[in-house]
Amino acid sequence: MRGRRAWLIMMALAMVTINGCSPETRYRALSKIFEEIPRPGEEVQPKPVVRKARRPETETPSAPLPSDTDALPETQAVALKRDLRELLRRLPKEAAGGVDWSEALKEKLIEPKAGLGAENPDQPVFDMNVELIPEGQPVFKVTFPHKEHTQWLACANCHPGIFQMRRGADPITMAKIFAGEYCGRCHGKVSFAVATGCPRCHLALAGPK
Amino acid sequence: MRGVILLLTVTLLILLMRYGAAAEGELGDIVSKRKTIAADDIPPAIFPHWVHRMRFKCHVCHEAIFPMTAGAAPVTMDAIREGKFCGTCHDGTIAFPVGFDTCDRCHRQ
Repeated sequence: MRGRRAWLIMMALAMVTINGCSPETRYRALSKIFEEIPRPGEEVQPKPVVRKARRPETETPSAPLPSDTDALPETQAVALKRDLRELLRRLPKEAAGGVDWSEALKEKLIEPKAGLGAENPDQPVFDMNVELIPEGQPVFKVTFPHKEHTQWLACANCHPGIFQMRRGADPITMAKIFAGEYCGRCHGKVSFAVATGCPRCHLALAGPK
Repeated sequence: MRGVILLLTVTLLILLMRYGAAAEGELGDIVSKRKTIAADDIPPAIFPHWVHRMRFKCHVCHEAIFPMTAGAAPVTMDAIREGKFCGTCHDGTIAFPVGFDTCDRCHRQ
């Protein structure tokens, strides 16, 4: 008895399956329940889904392009200022701990402009070393590089106000440099100080390499 | 309790080292001497050489705008507003303008 009922159910299921799986039947059955069931043989084109904005749409003001740090909002200006501090911290340092500005320039970590305009033709870099040898003390020979100096300064900054344009014409002594004359006009004030070490200028004092 | 105090002290020290260093001067900072009114109320202007030389070479300002001796230029706020000295750039075109919004960018402790 039981085996017969099972057999009947099996037959019914098979009938439903065979009938229900023909495309027309499936279309008829499914379209009663669901919308947009494609007809047999019809290509289905996916429709783009358009959703509404979650936030109310407002007119976005076009932000002016900042030309300078000061046109920026306060927070960004502050951040940039902190970045400059950060840049300063990252610049190469010389022996005494100060910034090695020449090295920073060489590594292109900073690119100072040569003028205030949009285009500023830079002055040519003057690559000439001047050797100053104190009388009878060749070991204290000073090698002055024009190259590093003309990357920053114009000729008229030093000549002839601070240095005459003739080698050995000025009675330069370390005491005068310490007192802020000659090299001491800048060195120790805005550029590396004497504490950086003697061999920075007195190359021979660095000893044999 | 002792642990908490120690922790607070250490935190304070770290904060001081972190932010105290930022307020520290750099070689080349020039602190102006104020001779005019309210000298006690308003801190003197500090010129940071380092931030300026990151952007401009020495000969841009020296010696057409500033002589190379600290204190040699008779800088006053009136002169700056007239476009002299700092006012050559700090007029809102090349750099931030001078005004009551920006006092503390130069006049700072």
